[in-house]
Amino acid sequence: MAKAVEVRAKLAGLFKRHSWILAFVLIFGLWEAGSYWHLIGRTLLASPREVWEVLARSAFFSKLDDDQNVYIHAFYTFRRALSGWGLTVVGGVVFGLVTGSFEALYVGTEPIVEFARVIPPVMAFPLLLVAFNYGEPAYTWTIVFGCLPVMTFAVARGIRGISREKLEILAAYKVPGVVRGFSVVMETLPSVFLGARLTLTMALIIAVVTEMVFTPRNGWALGAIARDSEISFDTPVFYACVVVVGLFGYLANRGIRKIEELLGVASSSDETE
Amino acid sequence: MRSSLIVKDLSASYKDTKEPTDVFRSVSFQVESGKILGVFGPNGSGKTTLLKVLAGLKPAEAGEVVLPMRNGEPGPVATVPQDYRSSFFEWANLEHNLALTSTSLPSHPQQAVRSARALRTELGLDLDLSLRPRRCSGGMLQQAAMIRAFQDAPSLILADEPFSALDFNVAATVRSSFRRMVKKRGITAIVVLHQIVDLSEVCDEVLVVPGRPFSTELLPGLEHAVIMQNEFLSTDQREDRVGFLALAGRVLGGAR
Repeated sequence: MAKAVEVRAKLAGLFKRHSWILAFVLIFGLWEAGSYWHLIGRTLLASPREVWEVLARSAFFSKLDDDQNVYIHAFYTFRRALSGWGLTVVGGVVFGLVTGSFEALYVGTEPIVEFARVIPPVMAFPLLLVAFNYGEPAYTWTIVFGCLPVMTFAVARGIRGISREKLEILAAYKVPGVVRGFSVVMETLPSVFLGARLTLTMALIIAVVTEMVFTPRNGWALGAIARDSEISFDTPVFYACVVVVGLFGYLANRGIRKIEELLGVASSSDETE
Repeated sequence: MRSSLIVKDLSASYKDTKEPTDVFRSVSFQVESGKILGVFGPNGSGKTTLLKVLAGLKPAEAGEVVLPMRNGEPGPVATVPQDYRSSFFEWANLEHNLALTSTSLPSHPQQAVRSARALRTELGLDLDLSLRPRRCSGGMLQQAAMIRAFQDAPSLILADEPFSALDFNVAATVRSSFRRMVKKRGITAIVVLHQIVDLSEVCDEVLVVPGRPFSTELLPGLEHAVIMQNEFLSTDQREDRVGFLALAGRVLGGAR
């Protein structure tokens, strides 16, 4: 009896730890079944095997034109996304720290930030295309335009959210300005990382969408190849683009989480009784 | 050379509503170094506000606070906040949290950490300082808050319900070591307490606050707060203890 309970507990623990494998198998199983039995037409859904072939051929540059290599397209798309995101993080931290530190400024700018963050960034894209003569900066600044209010708001909220008790302790003990500033920055880091992860996802989405709207001059763009493959019903290439973007987003998010853990500012649900 | 804490005609009010709400008016008292003043009264009577004004965290409307002097200057003030949980930073362990408020941190960080460990021993506590705050219970954090208060040899400690989360045994240890260290180091202490046992074992004098707004003077429309000597520290003076309880009960009863 006790042995059965022990085995059941072990199985439950194993299931909990590796449930992602089950989810992965389930999704791929359904995908494979859907495409194998043509539950969804081939023009809408490629099979996992076909997608894998595109990814593998791209990796080994075989039997594929260079302009269909999803990894080269992905490289340029991620470069656009990361350059826009980098500017967003730097600008958002600076603006967020300033607006969050002064109540009057925070209260005054909150409606503007709230207003700006609901505007779809793609709306500004045509204007920025003209402004930057259809060049690369148009893509970068569209990302900044879309992500900066979110990042600024996240950092400012983090500053405003520091508990009064912590600030009072620093004030009562007359902690030097440098140590106080360090403590405030460390206390704000979870909000900075939250904003960074959120805006990274947004930057990827905006990069791909803007590339779908207007192909960059150099022609390398995951959004453009995804759009073209959809139009020509080349669904394996389209789904390969989806997989590559998703994988990059996942890995980048995991990387940021890892940095959070290393700095000791990652949120945790562990509590004592 | 240490001196007393002198509070003269101190007044404070809340101004977050249209009409300012008085918390206390014309409050005056003096606490000598090495003495502990307990503050006893119902919830919402302004005890915490009084501590915040004394700590310089909330501006006084009128009056004067003369902090105990050290080397011709007002000495360091230490606080044990009522919400001690929120006063610790999650990104640092207890040891580093304590070092943060130490004056020796910028120049001698290791010394700040060693001093925290030494104080833990002196207070008779068995607390793992390598833990992160989220791993600690309320009682453990309250012990850490007590260690923090004694860092850097303060001349004034303002503690708001510092024993509220401690278990029976730890509370007894902390009460006795708190009193011993205040006496030994000549610190002035003001402690908000709700338990008679805490007041009787820790304090030399008790400011009994009947309600809000209060004053130490007899003024119309204000509750009269009185300072009573704690004469019942020794168990053979039971009559005084009963007398105190009767008086405190009468004062608090009158506020309702």
